[in-house]
Formats: sequence, C-alpha cells, structure tokens
Amino acid sequence: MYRYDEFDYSFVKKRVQQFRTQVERRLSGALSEDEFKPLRLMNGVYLQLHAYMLRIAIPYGLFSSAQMRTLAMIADRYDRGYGHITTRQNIQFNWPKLAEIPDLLDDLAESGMHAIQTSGNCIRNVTCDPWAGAAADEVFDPRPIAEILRQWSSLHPEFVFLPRKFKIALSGAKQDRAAVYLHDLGIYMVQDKEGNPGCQIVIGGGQGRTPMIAKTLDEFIPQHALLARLEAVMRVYNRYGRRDNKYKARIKILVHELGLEAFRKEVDQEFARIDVAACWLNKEEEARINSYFAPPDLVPLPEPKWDEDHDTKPGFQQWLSHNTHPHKVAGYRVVTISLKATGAIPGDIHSQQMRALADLADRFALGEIRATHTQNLVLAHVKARDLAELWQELAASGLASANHGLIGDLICCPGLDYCGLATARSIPLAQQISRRFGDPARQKLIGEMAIKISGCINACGHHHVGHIGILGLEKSGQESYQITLGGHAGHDASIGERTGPGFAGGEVVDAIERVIDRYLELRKGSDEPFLQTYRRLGKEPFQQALYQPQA
Amino acid sequence: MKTSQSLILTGNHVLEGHILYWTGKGWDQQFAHALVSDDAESLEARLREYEACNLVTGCYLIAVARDEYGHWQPVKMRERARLRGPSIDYHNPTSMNAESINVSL
Repeated sequence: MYRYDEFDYSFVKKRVQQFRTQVERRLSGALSEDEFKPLRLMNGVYLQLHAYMLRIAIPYGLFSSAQMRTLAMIADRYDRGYGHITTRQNIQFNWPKLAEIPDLLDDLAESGMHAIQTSGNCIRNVTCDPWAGAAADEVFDPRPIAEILRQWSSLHPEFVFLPRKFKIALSGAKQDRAAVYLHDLGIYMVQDKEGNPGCQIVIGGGQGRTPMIAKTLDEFIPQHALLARLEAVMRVYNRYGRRDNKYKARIKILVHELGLEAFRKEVDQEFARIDVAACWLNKEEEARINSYFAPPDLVPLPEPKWDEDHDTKPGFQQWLSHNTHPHKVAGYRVVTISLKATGAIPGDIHSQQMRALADLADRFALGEIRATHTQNLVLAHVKARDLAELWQELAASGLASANHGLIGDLICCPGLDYCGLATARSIPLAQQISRRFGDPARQKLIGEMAIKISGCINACGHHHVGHIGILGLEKSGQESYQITLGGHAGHDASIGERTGPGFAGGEVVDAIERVIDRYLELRKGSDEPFLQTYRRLGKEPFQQALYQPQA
Repeated sequence: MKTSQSLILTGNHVLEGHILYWTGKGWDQQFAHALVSDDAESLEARLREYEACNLVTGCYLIAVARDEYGHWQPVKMRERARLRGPSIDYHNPTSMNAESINVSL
C-alpha cells in the first residue's frame, strides 16, 4: 500500500500546525466562529447534534494494521472508545474536544493519516473497490489510479472551492463493489481492443434529494489522458455548476440540465486546450506509485478440504460461504469482517476490536485492512487454510457475523442519534431489523438482500439503492419512514421506487417482514434473489404486502 | 419584541463541544435551568453577542412548550433528540438496545 513520502509527511504535519494555531486563535477570541468554521471544516471537524465530530480520511478505504492501532488509541485517548465506519470508507469519531483535536491530528499524521478534504466543497476522499488487488473477478487494480487521483485532488488550487462537494469512485472488477454509478464521477478500469489500459468515465450520479444514475461520458480514455480529461470535467463544473442554489449545485444537476451531449461538448472543448502529456506523471513517478500496489508475493496453495467434523463448528460454514470470496491466487480468500452483529450499530467498531483486528491482519493478511462503503472491513489476502483459525479469533472479538450480503448486513447513516441534519433516527431501526432477522438460518433462506436506511433526504445511508430502502422523515412532530423497493448499486444500478405513505417507527419492521414473506412466496426457486424477483414482478405485489389491512 | 412563542437560547461549548443553554445570567448544561422567554429580540441580541465570543458556538433559538406535566419541552423532534442525547447504547460493542425506536421523541 502507499506510504507517505517526505513531502506528504511534512505537508500533513505543517497543516496540523496551521490548524493548531487556528484553534488557539479561536479559543483566544481572535477568530470568530464565522471565520473559524470554514477552517475547521477543511480539517474534517464538524459540529453535530451533541458535539464535534471528526471525519478521518481512509484513502480508497485502505489502511494498515499500524494505522488501525493508531485509530484505537485515538478512540480511547480522545473519544469514547469507538469509531464509526462511514458509507464513504472513512472513519468518524463522535465526541472529540476541539482543544484536543490538534494533538489528535498530530498523532494521526505520525501514522500517515489526516482529515483533510473530508468536508467542504472540494474533491472528497476517493473511494474504490475494497477488494482491489485481490478479487478473482478483477480486470485492473484501480488503486494506483486512486492514489494518483488522491495526490492530484489534494489541495488542487483550481478545485478547492467548487460549487459543491465532489465524490469519485473507482472499480476495476466485473462486479461493482464501489457504487460507481452513484458518484459525481465514476471510473471503471477497462481495456481497449488491443488490451491497453484505460478508463470508462461515468458522470452525474448521486443520491440525496435528487437521485440519479451516472451517464457514460467516455467509453474509453487512455490512462495517460485521465488527469487531463478530469481537469476538463472539473473546469466545466467549476464554471457552470450552480452556486446560487445549494440543492442544484451538484454536477448531476448540471449534466441533467445541460444534457449529456452538451456537457460532453463543453468538456471536449476544454480538453482540447489542455496539454494532455503535461498533466500526466513522468514514467519514474508512475512506476513509483505502481510499485506500492504491486501484487503481494503469494505462492499458490492447494485448496483445503474442509473437514465436516472439525471445521464445521456452528456458524463456520455459513461464514465461509458468505464472508469469504475468491482470490486471484489459488488457495487464498478475500474475507469480509461484518460490523453488523445482531442488534449492533452498523459500522461501529470499538477500540478493543480495532486492536484485535490489527493483530489478526498482521497474522493472517499481510498487515492490511480495508473499509467498505457498506460499513464493513476486509482482510484481502488470507490463506484459505487459515480461515478456520481466523474465524475463531474473530468470533472471540464479536467480529465473525456470517451475514455479508444478507439481510443482517444493512447499512445506515448516524441519523438523529448524532447528525445535525437528520430528520429521524436510523440506527435504532437498523438494530431492530437486525434482531428480527437475526436467525442465521432465516438470513440464509432469504438470501441476497441489501437494506439501506437514511435518517434524512441527504441519503448518506444510500436508501435510494437499497433493495429495500428506508428514509426517515419528521411528519407532524413524529418519526415517519418511507419505504422504497428495487434499488441497486451495481453495474445495473437502479433507484428504488417509492411505495406509498410512510410508516411510524414501530410499524416499519413488521412492514419489512411482510415484504420479505411475500418475496419468499413469489420467488422462482430458492436461488432467485429478491432484486430479480422484484424486477420480474414489479412493485405491485410488494406494495400490496406493505399496505395490506392489518388485523 | 414579544412573540407568542416561548423560546430558549442554546449553543455548544466551543472548547468541549457539549450543549449549553442560556440561563439569563450565564450558560448551563441543564435544560431545566434555561431561561424561557417570549422576547425573541432580546435573545437574538444575546445570540449575536455570544456568536462573536469564544465561549459558545452554533447558537440558535428553539421553540418550547409546556408538556402535560407543566414542564418545558422543545417543540421540534430534532431538539427533543438533541436534549435527550443518543438513544442508542453506543458503549456496548454489540448493543442490544433495539427497542429504543419505540421510545417516542
């Protein structure tokens, strides 16, 4: 994985020192809140419902065991002993004190981490496939490009005051595990007919109050032209993006209002003015960055034979089946660590779990950990023959839930338990659904399912692309939850359809259960997933189940 | 200027981040100690005064009304949630406090 060079290290340390003096000036009264607010936001410090919140960047979701230990230390020393993995592969701490944040950021910087550009109208932390460099279905590893984009977008002088925030995601695999079509700009690593590496660029996706699926701007841009092409896109957005109305300021609105063809024409004109070669890296620098992501030296191993007597302790087979996935190299697996134990708060991880996981990453996975946008963690290079031992160790830390991709693997935003923008709570609802469907056999029976919950229209919980999406709103002073069906975040992305009036908090879980029961009645065989049944039959039968008269 | 609405001035402690309420004489963490007033103009003057200082941040007024027991409560759900704090047991790694959704805000 990428490691800070001297420039990165000194830059981040200087930035912390700047912030330290800004905090001192705020606390002395030399800076007013109006003056200080943009400065703290540039460093990831939000003021939430109850307290400050610090959002720390995990570039493309990839971090080391040493960095995980630093995060555990930060959780204990500066916060309340836990962190929260976000739906953009970052980690948040919910209770830091402003006076201590400069020290916290210094500790982070020592570990090669920071909170820069985790807020504000800039290019945010670039996200990517959490199985990158490991998954069997990968065509190109997107991480070198993700790292190049990180460096390009960090304090890029033209793009630090955009009309609105800008989110980029990358994937280089057959299966999209990065919700690429739901980003302002998405990149699929592809190859042309001659096998040359390049990028398909999709533009204008996003969720929030106006959900849109990105459209293809370019079927193929050679890799060496990528930065020039992105400069052109960003300049067009910077010039024409609406600054008069916050709700119409994202690039999706610009692309929608201009139309894709007109937008592309603008980008082409700008692109023609750019010196493409000057925008790309020289060969040495490109090679240097690529070298950080060279495939690990894994020796192919024979697949272990799982001994029914010895390796089928309760839960192991289900975990093996749902939480481990094929690796590029024979005899290895990509392992998903679910942060969704029954009744748990999705994405929360406590300091003792962080330390345990860091140790396990060192023992079993080359010291590397990834965060996923579905609020789980991943160990990407695990020997299949070590899986039973790893599973036992994970279980000892409450991290062996065998529900990846199942109904218990729901994602949700912090909602009205933390967030100042929220209109309803989302976490307690997630917990309640998790408990209702906690039985592993029932989860297995239901199969592939993505429930996603947002506590407001901003859709941080990705409800628009939940197979079952739940949006919490305030209605007449009470929490009310709208249910959408049929959303999906993959290559065949779709926005969920609204079903009808909202449900009171206490009614939602029963309503979800009626949808699930109807699906089990209607599916064509046990291997037809919910999404497929929904797409085959449409909304109506599920809508009937949701709103059927209650006895 | 007097309004028909009963109001409280609130904000967050600059240094610590926690919630504060204006008591008429100073700032306090106890909602019960908050000054309830229908003089919006006077509270807004306080708000501007404290926004410019280094003690309280994110100041705003919240509407309150008496509940069935005669106690002041925030009118809006967001403010009731802010007053009560997180409804989840975040200290527990595998929180089982799943029934809190049934707790009315």
